[in-house]
Amino acid sequence: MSDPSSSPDGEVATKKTLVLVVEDEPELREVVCSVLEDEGYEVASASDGRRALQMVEEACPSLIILDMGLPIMGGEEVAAKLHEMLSTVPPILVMSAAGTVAERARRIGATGFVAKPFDLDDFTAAVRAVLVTTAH
Amino acid sequence: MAPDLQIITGDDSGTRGAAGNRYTSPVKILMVDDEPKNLTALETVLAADDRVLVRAGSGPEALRQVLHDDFAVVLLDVHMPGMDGFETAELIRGRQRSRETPIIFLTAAISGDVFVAKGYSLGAVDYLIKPFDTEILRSKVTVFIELFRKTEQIKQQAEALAETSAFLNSVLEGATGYAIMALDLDGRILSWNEGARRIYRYDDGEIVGQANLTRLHAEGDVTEGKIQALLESAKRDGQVTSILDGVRKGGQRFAASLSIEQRVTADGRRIGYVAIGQDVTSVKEAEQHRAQFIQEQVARAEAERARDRLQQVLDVLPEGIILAEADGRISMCNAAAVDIFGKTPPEDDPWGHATLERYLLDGTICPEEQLPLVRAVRGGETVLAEQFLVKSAVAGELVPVLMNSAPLRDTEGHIVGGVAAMQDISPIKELEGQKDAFLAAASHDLKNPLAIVKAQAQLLMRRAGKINAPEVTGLVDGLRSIDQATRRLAGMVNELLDVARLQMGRPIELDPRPMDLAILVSEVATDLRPSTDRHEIQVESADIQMMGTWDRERLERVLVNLVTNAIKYSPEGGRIVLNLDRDTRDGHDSAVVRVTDSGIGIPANDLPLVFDRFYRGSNVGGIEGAGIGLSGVWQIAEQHGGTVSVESAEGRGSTFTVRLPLAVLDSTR
Repeated sequence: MSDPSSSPDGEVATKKTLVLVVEDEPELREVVCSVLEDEGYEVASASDGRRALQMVEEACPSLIILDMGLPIMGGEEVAAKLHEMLSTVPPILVMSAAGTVAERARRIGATGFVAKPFDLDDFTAAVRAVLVTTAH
Repeated sequence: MAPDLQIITGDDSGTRGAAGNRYTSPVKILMVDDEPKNLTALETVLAADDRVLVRAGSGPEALRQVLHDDFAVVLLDVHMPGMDGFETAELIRGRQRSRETPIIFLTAAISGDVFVAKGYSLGAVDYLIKPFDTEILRSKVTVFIELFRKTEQIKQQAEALAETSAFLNSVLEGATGYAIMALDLDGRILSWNEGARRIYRYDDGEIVGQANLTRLHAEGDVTEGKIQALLESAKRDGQVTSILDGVRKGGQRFAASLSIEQRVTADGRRIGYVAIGQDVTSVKEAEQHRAQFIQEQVARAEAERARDRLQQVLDVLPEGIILAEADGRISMCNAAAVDIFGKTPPEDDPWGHATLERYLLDGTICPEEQLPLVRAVRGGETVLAEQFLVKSAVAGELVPVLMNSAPLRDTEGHIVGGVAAMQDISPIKELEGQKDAFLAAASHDLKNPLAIVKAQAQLLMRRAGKINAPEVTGLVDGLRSIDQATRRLAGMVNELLDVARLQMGRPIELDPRPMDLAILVSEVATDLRPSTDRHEIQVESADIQMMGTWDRERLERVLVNLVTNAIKYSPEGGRIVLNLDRDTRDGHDSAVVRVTDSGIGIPANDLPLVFDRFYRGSNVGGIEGAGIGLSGVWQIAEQHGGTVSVESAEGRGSTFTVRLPLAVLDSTR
């Protein structure tokens, strides 16, 4: 907790780190958002790929938590479009129920991944790790 | 005087009556007398159609006549003024042309025996005394006419014979391609023509009258008495022909045709043989060529038939088949191959490299040296089940194919070509895609709800943990129970999906992390001990710790599978030993786990098959199978870069050995 960048609570007064959650399952989206809010992040969410692209463009989040199993526009496609749209794409943490999550995360150039179902401790650690890596 | 009597005067050169056929032309008679009335009297007596009477009034005139003509007889008056009869006769005799011409002297007076003797000595053949008996004169002259005619005839016949003979000889000499020989009854060679000289290279003097046919033929033919036998055959059958081993002067041999024909006179008398020899080397060669040509034709037709049948067989096969010669020429391509490529490769494109578009899986054109057919033919390699992509000339799409290839060898083992078989595996690929889609859907549908429950429970636990109230403590306990159940459920779902993946032969995604294999081994042993009361599960380990980077969950499945198998397949109970060791092979350190039982074992025949996905032991009737199976064990070990092997004897138990590399697993695997 001595490292300021790993303690978002310390930055509440100034500017919160914005995390975008892209997940089509409403219950899961809600609980993930709640967890991140409890952790002190500012959270935005999208239920499909198109909306996610819009929000990235508008809000410029520090981290995107991206579900791979999105309907219509899948996680891979969202990532590809982001790379087309932006010169600097925010770090992506992949979330997937597929057995091949590591492989897919690597393929789209994600910074980290969590396999569903996950322990919250592992999840928040992964979020923190990604933010630490990309903050430098 | 007969009106048709021809009278030629001495002044006439006298060729008028000689016109026409020489054989029927009238014969000439020369009458010499200084007294014209005597000549006329002679004419009266001798005139006839078959003769010409020529008058001469003096010796010199008579000489002129015999200089130009041949006369059957000369009637010569002895008493003439100037040159008398004797002198004239002498001169007539002295000339070449008239040397043999008969002369009859005519004389008016008997001049005594001396006179007659002189006449005979000068070549007279007869004397007639004037006045002479006309009948005698006529008949004497007729005799000479007949004699003259006969002589003329014989002379002409001899000339004709000489001409014919010269002609025949020229024919014989002209037949330069044939040795034509006359043989006597003993087989001695009597004649030798130009053909004989050319073929046998002997001169006439070396052969004619001295040699027989044995001189002209090789020893084999001669010693076997063939020549003699041929002469006998010719004698019996009239004619015989044979092919012999001919020998030229100097010893050179050649194929000789020899024909012998017996010659018989009109009255059936045997007089000899005609032998005709010929150098038939070129004829024989031509025949041999012809025979060889026919043989080749037949062989070609047979090969064509065999090829046709092979083509038909290949065409019904569902796999594409290509045959190539050692030089790369594509010699056969069956219907399925043409379907896959969308075209038939031309013969002049080695390996079909320029025309058949074959790609590696990464989408680059397959280099010639990597084509299975090339590897089979050049390197003698047997290529098994390698995947390539083929661009169809018709559809233009890349078709995934599975290729096998092997060299074709002749009876001596030399590589004479190669065969490649290819199977369009797009249906299999499609099926694999469907399997993957099913697994992904199953995974998604099962894990998403689990993720919600788990995250919700843990979130509530976190929040409740911050509230310090007694009624909340009970809630937290309940939530922890939900969380633990979720954990178990998640484990089961993962295992279920792993089993499904492994059973479908699809790769699983490992999650390698640093772990201690020694701990895992003893945990598995501890967990499984309660499941049996007949077995003693022991752990033997030289090392207290065995750290490596492996997928703990998957290795647990491997060990659980091997130990439960050991329990299942030793129904009588007994010791099951988990042995942990380390080993170095080829410079690589491995952790080695051996699971040994003393159960029913595996029949030797089944041993090579135990890791096959669809194998079930032939001696395990009644024992239930479940879990990832040995094929799953194999796949997990393999994905870790390790191996699994088995040793077993039926009735004496089995030992399964898992080797795992101790080096950090490449995370991109």
